[in-house]
Amino acid sequence: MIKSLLENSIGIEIDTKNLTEVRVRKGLPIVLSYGVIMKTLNSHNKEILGTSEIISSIIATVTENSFYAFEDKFARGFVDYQGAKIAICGEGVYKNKQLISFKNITSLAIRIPRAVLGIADKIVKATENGELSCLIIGKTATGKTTILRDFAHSIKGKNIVVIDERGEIYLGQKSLGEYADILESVDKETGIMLAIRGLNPDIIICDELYTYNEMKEMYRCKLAGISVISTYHGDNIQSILNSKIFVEGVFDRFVVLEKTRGRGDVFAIYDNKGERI
Amino acid sequence: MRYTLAILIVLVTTYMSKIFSQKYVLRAKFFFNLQGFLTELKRNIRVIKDPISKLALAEDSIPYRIFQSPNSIYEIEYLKENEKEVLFQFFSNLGRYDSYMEEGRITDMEEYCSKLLEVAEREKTQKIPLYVKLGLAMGVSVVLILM
Repeated sequence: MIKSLLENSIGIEIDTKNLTEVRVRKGLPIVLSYGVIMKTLNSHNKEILGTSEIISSIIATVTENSFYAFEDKFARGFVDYQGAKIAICGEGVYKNKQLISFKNITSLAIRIPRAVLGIADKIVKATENGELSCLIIGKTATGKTTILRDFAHSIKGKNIVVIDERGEIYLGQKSLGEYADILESVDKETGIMLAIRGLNPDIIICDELYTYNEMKEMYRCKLAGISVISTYHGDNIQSILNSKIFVEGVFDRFVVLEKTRGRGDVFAIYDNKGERI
Repeated sequence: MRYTLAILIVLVTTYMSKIFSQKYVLRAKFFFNLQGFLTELKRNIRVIKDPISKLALAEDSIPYRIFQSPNSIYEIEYLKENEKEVLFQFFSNLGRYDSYMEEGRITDMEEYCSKLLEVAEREKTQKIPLYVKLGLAMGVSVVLILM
């Protein structure tokens, strides 16, 4: 599906096996990422440059020729297209000091999430099969979301609620396993409230911890005896421990990922006191 | 026999004139449908924000078919050349802008369409009876000449 989107828009055959990311920037070579390997798109030994036509064509297909219908989603981060996440860069359009859309689009980032079975094994073990709460810390493209997905898939015999605020985790029920319920496009604070009230979860999984209020809600989970598995954008444990949003006692484990060999490489695991295990 | 033939001639010429006048009916119907399409589209952009393909009116309407293939506007015989050009420009860029720009473009098109609908309705009420009368007159003339 993503293959036909790219090939019809760019006009050449593209190897989409193991493709994880495509960057189309106006006037610059199109860059393809296969895991940690990045390369420019070539045809007859010549780099293919991103153009307005290619960008427009991709956007038109993704938005069913109705950009306005998707502008909110673009403004919130990305649009989901058959499992791929499409984000745009350009000139922001504001209303009441709030970003509501983009115009003069200059680049596109197409990310193709893939379920990688077994990638969360170390974290399942570190959390004692989901009994402990865990925060996964890593930079962009270190596999945080992929680990969350596999974590949900790996845990058996426990009720799991996945709060997928930005629609990044869920790739169909199969990707999350038979014990997971999904709250899609629901913010974390509301999702946690809904989960605690009505879904009786043993584990709550959510992506990209960002605010103090979210952290506080997670503390409520902890007090309610629910394990929380979440991610945080950072490059070491200090980035969360020194952060203003940090609330002590929420997480029992901190897992730091690094981007060396591939996605989901666990660099270090720490306990709740920040001591390396 | 002669009278039957005379009546037949008058009926045929009147019917032919009615057929020729159909373009006025089609023009009015086209602009009426277009106005409905634009109204629904604008409401959709303001509130629901569904893609154009999901509009309730969309499926078989002529405006939706033009949206899918803007070039097809040039095949519509009852539209004038300048109208075709304006509509082609509108439909070939429809869905490419953010909601504010789309709303502005649709409002402009609604005004344009409203004026054309008014003219088309006026032409319809004036010219269809005229065509019928002309057809009738032509039929009578032919009968008189032949007889």
